[in-house]
Amino acid sequence: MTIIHHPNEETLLDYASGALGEAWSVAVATHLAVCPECRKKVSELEAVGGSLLGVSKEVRVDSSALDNILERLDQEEEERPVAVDCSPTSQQTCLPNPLREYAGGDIDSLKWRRLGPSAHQLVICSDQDGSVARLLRIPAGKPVPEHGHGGQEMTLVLRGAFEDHLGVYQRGDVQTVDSTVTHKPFAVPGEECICLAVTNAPLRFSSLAARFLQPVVGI
Amino acid sequence: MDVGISHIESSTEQEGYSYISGVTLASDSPISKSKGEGESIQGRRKRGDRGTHKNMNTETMDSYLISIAETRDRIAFKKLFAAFAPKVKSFAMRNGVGPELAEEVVQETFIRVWRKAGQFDPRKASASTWLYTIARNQRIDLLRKRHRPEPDYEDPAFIPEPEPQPTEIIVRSQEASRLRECMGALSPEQQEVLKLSFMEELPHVEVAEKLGIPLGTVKSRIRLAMKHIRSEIGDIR
Repeated sequence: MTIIHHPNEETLLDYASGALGEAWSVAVATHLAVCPECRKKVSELEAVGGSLLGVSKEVRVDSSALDNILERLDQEEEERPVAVDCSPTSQQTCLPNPLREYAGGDIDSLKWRRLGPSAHQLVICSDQDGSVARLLRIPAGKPVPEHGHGGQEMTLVLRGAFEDHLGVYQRGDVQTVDSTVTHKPFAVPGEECICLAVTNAPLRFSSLAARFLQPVVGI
Repeated sequence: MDVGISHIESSTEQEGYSYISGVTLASDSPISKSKGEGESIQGRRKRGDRGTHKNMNTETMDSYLISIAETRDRIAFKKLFAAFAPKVKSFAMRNGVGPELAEEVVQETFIRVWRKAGQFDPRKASASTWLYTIARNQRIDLLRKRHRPEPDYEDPAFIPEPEPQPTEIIVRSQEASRLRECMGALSPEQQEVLKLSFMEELPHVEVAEKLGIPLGTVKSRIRLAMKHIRSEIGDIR
């Protein structure tokens, strides 16, 4: 399957520089796990960082620093850890790492919480600035109520697909929208849609019923 | 970082490595010659301008890392430390981070350099890029007290890239110098945005706030700069 929708350059830059918050970084890193094209872009950005580090100014390091490090290396050499077998299993997983580690397991082992009449959610990571990454599970063919955004929203598809007026998004695809966008995404019929959605402000639901429900479901 | 953006002047290429004058401060023997952190920027800049760049040769740095990985070569490790530790320390001392915490970043970075040297692959990145990613992660761990999520190459869901072709391996070593030249040719405004992003670790939204310019301007500077850089090193990568 070919990924069509990627994170934008600024987001990849913020990830490469380390400035991107953790909740967003989970989504970007999980996209990178399935997208060699964006990994290449990130490695090019990191080369810019490496180049800047290479010409950055210098601050004198403590004269004891190197000795301290060498001493620690001596200790490590003595207590060399036994190699752990980390050969990959052949099992197919829906959630690529780092997302699976954050979630604490793959799709079927998670403790989902109800979100509205038919969807489910699971909060994966929350940052101090209010950004939240949550997994969403939307039944095949079902809509998410029409909503706008108080801030940024980034959605990474992991299973199935969703569609809105901007396009169709499949596994690995990333949609980034801001407060100027109102959309009514729905899961494409045939398969449930599982995606990771990151937001830095609550969604603004258009319908009164959905707004009424919002404090209860907490999205 | 105390060398402000206001100091960015036109590009200089006299030394073959200095592309942002006033920011580039190299000396040929950082540990023995540097007179300490209290020294004026002017003083350091003058000496930096006279400095040579023999310690920062890309292939030499790569070979140090390979020796560390293959023979646990401590001489190579000391040389790599002498060349990079003062840079990593200044990289860590941003936004009022004190020298003690910065020393911790330096130590943890080089401990990981030793442990992970076997993962260094000169086909994929230069030594300075590899070191940058380790120092960046240590800065996030120690200064921001949070975890950095990264893709996991061992994961069954991970989709690998095609293996690099032999020609790519040969030209990879040219990348660092090509990149330096290419970054020197960027406009001062583009250099400034990249420097604030990577060295100050500012998200692009805060870069716009700091410079007092529209977000869209920052985005277009990032995109144009990277488009230019990719067109120059794209045939290598």
